[in-house]
Amino acid sequence: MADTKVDVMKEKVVKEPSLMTGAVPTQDWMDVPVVFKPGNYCYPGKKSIMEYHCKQFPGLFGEPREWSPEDDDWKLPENWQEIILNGMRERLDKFRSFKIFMDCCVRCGACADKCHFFLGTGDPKNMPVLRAELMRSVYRGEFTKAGKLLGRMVGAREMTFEVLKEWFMYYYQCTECRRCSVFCPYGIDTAEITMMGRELLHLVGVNINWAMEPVANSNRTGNHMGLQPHTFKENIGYLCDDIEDITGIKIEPTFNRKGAEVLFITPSADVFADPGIYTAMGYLLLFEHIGLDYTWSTYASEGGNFGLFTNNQYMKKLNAKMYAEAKRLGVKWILGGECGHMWRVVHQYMDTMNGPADFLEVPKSPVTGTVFHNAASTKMVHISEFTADLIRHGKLKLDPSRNAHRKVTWHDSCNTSRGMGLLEEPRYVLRNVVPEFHEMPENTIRESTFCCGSGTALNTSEIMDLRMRGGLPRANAVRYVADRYGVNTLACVCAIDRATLTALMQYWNPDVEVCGLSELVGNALVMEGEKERETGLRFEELATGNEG
Amino acid sequence: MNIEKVLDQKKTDILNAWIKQVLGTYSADGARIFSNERDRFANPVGHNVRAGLTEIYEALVADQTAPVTGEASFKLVQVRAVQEFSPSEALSFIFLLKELVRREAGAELDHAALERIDRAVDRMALQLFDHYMACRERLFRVRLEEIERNRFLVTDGGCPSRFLRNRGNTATPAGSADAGPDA
Repeated sequence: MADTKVDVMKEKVVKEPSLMTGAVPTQDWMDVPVVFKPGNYCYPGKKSIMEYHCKQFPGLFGEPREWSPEDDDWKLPENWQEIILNGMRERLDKFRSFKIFMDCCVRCGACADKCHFFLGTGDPKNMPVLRAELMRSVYRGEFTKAGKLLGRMVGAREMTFEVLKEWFMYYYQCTECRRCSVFCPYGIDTAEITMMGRELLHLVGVNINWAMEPVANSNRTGNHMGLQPHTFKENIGYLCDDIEDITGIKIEPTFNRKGAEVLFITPSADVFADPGIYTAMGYLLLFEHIGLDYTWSTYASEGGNFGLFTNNQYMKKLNAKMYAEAKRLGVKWILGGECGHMWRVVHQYMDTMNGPADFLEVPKSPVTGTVFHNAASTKMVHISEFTADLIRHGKLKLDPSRNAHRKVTWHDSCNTSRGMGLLEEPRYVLRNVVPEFHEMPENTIRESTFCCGSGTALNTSEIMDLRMRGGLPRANAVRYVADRYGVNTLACVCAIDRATLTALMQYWNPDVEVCGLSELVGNALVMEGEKERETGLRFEELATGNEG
Repeated sequence: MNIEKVLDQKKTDILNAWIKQVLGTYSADGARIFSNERDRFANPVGHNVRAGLTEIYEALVADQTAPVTGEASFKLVQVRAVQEFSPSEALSFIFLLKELVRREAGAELDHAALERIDRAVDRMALQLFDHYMACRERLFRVRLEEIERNRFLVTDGGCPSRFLRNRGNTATPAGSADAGPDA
């Protein structure tokens, strides 16, 4: 009998040309056009938001307008190609890494199967090598002699509207997680190529609202959500009320207090969004437990920095706000909460953008005396480093059995693990606050960790299908430990992760909840004078037989 | 001829061909990598396709009248339900099984046996359709719940300075408790 061929399927099941009927693109990638349809792109920035940005940084955000990626006309400036090419030239001169990454790839393929978006979609343009090639081809075509002369023979092409569409599609299908760069023999950082791609798109007014609105809000009111100081303060007050209900301990944190020893900065999602608020309750309990002389700030009320996903100018400005506030308040150093990209910015870019922060002191734990030499320049210590040091010195009274209702696995957030090498500290904390902790498989954790699939401002709901595809490798590894060990909790130290992994788990592994590390610390902390705990910080029931 | 015995004997041939065809619904690069990489964590699509199809085939061998009960077939549909397939594209793989059984074992099965297998495949198709809809509905629930959780993010709040300007110069500083509702 003849082979089952796709034409058999075509007749019987699917009438229209489709993947199953043999319509998988077989032509060269340059000839496969990008098609935007609902669900595969993020909504563009609102006109009003873009008008605001254009006032902040004239010339960097194109023309504010209403447009849709699905339209044939994106209402680009007449000379948009010239703007892009000039922007590229300027960046090739300014950023040496960009120039090197454009030149040095040998297409060995080591990165090809390392991207979570490729692993979830099979789309070749999601292979990091090809994602970079989207821009390299233009670099060759427009900036190299060989490319100008030989064109497509050497993988060169001109900057056309089709190319621009490709950039918008695929530089917003990269979460800048840098997993591919771990496997690249040259250390090519695709994240920085994506950053350049996005900067160039901004120049001609091509952007996404989920990045632009939080950036506008952060620039204006200090945090992604646009919350004003009194609201910020009030919400922390509500969290303190909940803490009092659960523990009987009344906490009265201070705000904008000059002369405090430490300024504490965390993502605003910790103050307002579920499940981040339980993490914030953990911070409040921890600081109360050790009697830390610290203050919150309603000005530096955001650790997150969506400028990193926008352009270097905004990244610098939003990062500077934290240091300006530290200076204004006269604190000695900054303690940072559970955030992902805040740490990437602080660890990799802050020093040359806004540093060194000479007006602050090298951080020293007032409880243990430990000097954090790793933060000698940025003067900013991660909450996990700080907590691990406290535990190491026996300064915390902990009862891990209060987390006995949780069987935990650990998600290394891309920015803190690959971006700053924070691998052991959170694990050390975790082992001290939960009775049961199981690692996911080795090739899905630590430096090789899989992204949540929704970082870099892709945590917007209009691309939920895409996010589920991108998060499949992470969810697949969680499924394994859930099946094998009965893991029911996925812990992490990143606000975006806490939000996006929650959605990811609800789709792939509904039996697994997501929480921050400090929430688990808060559950385990035995506070002086507390009442018997009947619930955890999210008012969930504790394991049977637990005395608290 | 015993259906179970024939299907069991042909298991490797049919299943391998089936897996190859289903992985062929991805791009050439996707199909190549999803076929070759055997680490289940480095290749979740390949793993789920393999495990799902194996489970379905084994269910067919065991009993042509019972539904598929395992998790793997659900996982396979769950993966395809969020990839860029239309519903028919996502699920049409099940019908390939009819053709493959005929190709590999047609000579050893009589008409009644083939009809019995066809009916089983049709029933499984309906079952997979239920899985598919359950996944899509779950996805929309996830989306809805996220919007509810993120309602604070959906803001068009004005800036405090504008708020103060609108209230005139007598307004209290933005940080004080009586600065008023969000502008």
